[in-house]
Amino acid sequence: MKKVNIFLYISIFILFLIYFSAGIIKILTPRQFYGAVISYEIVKDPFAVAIISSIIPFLEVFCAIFLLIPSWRKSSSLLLLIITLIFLFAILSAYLRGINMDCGCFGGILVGETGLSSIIRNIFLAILSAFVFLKSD
Amino acid sequence: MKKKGFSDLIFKALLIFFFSLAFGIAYLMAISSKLPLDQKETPAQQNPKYKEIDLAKAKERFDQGWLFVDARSQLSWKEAHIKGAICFPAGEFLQKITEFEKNYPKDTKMVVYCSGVGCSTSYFLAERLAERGYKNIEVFFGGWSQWVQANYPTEKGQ
Repeated sequence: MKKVNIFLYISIFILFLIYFSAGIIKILTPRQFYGAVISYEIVKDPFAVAIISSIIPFLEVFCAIFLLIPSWRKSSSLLLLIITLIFLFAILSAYLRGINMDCGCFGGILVGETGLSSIIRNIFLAILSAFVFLKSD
Repeated sequence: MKKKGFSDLIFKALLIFFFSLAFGIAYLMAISSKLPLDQKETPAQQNPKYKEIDLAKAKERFDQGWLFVDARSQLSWKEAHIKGAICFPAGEFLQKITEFEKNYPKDTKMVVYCSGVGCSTSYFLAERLAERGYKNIEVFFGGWSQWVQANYPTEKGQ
């Protein structure tokens, strides 16, 4: 009989909750998320920003949903790990360049500044995603 | 066996990605009118806490002597800013607000701006200033980039 890994299920639950809600909020507040992405000044072309800010919320929502399906868990956690590392790079680069702004992590409803707390939160999420990826079949 | 597992992993990951891509593009087509993709002003947002203004109105406010508040980083403000604008990085709100409140009464007429069309920091700052009781806030939607393009007065920070 397979031993149930309680930490794995807690990690999946946390990741699902955070990414599903973050994605839905971004979908509901497209202009605010577009504004957050353009404020990073990493991608400056408005159309490229529009495409990125339209795909990311759906990627978060679908990855969160597929985390709940055991046979898709490894793939979705891998994608979550990749996008979390991209977020981490963006926030870190904004922080180092002295750009203080709403990180856009939760669209236009909750405010998360590009400070140390966002960096720590993303490191934590990256570790959780990596844990789920390694522990999934 | 391992190789099969790896290709299955990548196949499913790509499937989720393309699924998101398809939904994202369809969503973008539906909401593109709400985004400032043409780098021009969009209709005023229905936010009761502050008004959105265009370049012409911002210049009018400048001539009338309204306070200009630069929501960009201190580094950008030092490089150059709208003449007379004060530096108030949106992310340093809690550190700066006490001093700001000492210097500027709640009825101060002000225009908040950030780097350009679509940037979010001016809205973020305007929202938080309004929460602190400031009533006469306007957000210059075109921001720094439009002001520079129009060749309006600027200065370097100290």
